[in-house]
Amino acid sequence: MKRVWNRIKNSKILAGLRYARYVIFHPFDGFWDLTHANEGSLGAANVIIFLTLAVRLVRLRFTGFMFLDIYWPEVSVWTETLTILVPLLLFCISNWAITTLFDGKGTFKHIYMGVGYALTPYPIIQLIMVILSNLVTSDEGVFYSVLNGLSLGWCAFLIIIALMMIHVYSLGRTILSTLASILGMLIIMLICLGFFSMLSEAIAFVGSLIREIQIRVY
Amino acid sequence: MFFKASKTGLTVRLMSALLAFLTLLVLFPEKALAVDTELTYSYVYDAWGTAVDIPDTYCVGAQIDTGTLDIGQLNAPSGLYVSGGRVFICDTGNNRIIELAVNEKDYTYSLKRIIGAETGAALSQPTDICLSDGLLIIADGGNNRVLILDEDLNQVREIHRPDSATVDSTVPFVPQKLSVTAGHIYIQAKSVNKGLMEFDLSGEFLGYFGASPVKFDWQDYFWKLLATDEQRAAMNSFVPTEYNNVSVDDEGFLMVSNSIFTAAELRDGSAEPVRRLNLKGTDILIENGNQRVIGDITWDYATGPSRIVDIAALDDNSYYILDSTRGRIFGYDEQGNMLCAFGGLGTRKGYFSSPSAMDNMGRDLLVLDSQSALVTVFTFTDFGKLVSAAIGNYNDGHYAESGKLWRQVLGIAGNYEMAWDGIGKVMLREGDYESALQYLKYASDEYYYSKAWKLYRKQWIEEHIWIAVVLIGALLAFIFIKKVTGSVKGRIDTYETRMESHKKL
Repeated sequence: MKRVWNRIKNSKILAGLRYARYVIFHPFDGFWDLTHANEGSLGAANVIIFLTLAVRLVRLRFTGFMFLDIYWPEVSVWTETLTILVPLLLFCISNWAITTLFDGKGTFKHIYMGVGYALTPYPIIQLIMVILSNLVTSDEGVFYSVLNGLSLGWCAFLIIIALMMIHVYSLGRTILSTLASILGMLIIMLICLGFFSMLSEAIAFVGSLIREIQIRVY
Repeated sequence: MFFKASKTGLTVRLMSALLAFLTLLVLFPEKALAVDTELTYSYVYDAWGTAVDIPDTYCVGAQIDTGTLDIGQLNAPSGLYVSGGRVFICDTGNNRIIELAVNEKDYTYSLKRIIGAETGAALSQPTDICLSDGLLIIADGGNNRVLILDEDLNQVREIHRPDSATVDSTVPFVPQKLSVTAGHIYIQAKSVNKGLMEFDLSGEFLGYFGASPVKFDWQDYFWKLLATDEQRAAMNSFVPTEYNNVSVDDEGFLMVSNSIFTAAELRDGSAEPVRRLNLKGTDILIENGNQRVIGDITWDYATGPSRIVDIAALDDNSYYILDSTRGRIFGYDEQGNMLCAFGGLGTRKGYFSSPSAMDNMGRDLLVLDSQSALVTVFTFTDFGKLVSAAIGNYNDGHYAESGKLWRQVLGIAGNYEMAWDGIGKVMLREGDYESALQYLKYASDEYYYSKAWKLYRKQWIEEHIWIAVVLIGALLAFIFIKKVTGSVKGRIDTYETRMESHKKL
């Protein structure tokens, strides 16, 4: 029993999570050491992203009535999950593709880890918000919206710093590469869309060909 | 193969449906056939903007058919005015006004007189009439005047285009709709966009009243900046939109409607189809409902949004607006909550071909159809009476009674959000905050939910404050005990060390 506990206590993931606490308050040093001193762990980044997804769902279910404007018949767990996960992965891929071309020092793993760590404030603050939303009236809703802004702003700030440190970029270059990454995301989506629509056309063509042959022959 | 299978499926389904229907016919002959033609199709919008079916609040009580009066065919009647049992129909195309005497109980009607050339009042395309202090005030648009007659149809006064610098003398003065409140005549005239024209009963022009605010956004400004002078001249000039109708509500405020706006303006909230003007001419319409007071909130692109052409305000501060696009009537309470929507375009009873005017007789609604020249009288159904009574009792402060009525409403129509809201508000008044929260949540009423929550939270804290007191007490006691035992232990320790050192010596 104690051995199991010790194993959990000394696991790399937990150490990584403990490091996340340091990172969010000391982003410059934190993110530098995350990759350059190998302080971070991929497992911890996965856990943080999982927590982010989980807190999105918790938020849907447990936010107080006054702060939740949600039409249940249109809610799907998959949509809620994928609307976070897909843009996140797309951003990582696109950022990796762009920074590889422009002297970025980070690998894909580093980028993913950095973005994952940068999301740390989101689940924490959102969880506080869920609890708060069940306590305050709508007159006091200012607290709620301020916290909401804080959770997003903090994460955005951390992502920028993370990319800056990981790629060893200047601030201006980071912002430019981030904007380029967003453009890259759109291009990737466009290509995917084109690919799948072509694929479905091709399948439909083969299908109709087969049907035509069937009708002619029989 | 696949298609064939589905076809048989459909046939089987149709057959079974027919069989079920026939069985119903055999078992309950009257009930199955009893399609009540008096009822129309009613709905309200819920908080999500979904149209929810509700029982009818109004049904067709009677129809006044001018064809039975032996006065010839009406030609595009466009004005309707009701005062007591007197109903005036402006037969615009025939240059006359028809006055009917209508029994307010059973709606039997008879012709009282015809106001027109034969009776000494040469009207030309009258579009509206209004009664005040024994005077008939007629919008005589074809003659460019407002005609004021006494009850014996003697001409008292005429109002022509006022000789004022603010009145454009190049545009003919064509009064279309008018209303009288607080001794002043408010006229909506054609091509006048500065608001309503206000006159006193002696015919003196007092000025313009209640123009709608001018819409102007940065996009317009940007394009205007780039445009040449000719292009600028061809552009829309930014002027207030003109109203299309004016009525007076029970408190003497003017209710005006306008229908000149685009669907986009309606969506972004810059268009205000219905306005309630106070004496300063500012809009005081309350829109606290889940939806704005714009009639239908969704529409197909081809027909477009509701165009409000007339308003009838009842004595319980609810009001009904007439939509010419789909021939529907929308009811709202004082707070702007939607009560019902009913009617439509069609030829059935309770539907219209081209509704042009509406007025109320007590709490009955009279709607004039300009094409069929019929006046349809809508009266409350039992459900409508229940809803009206529940709202009335709440407004009068009889909360318990109102709650009881709302529960009856809920028993009939579980989807009626107003009922959940009504019960919730009553419970809030009665201090049952926990139940109020539940009901207000079902009604999606965030405003009152927040109020109830504030009170419930206060109550909860007051009831559970002892926990905090006990906890703090326990903490203090713990600290105190620790301190005492600590000091005792310390003293024992010092004693022991002293003894030890003593022994060594």
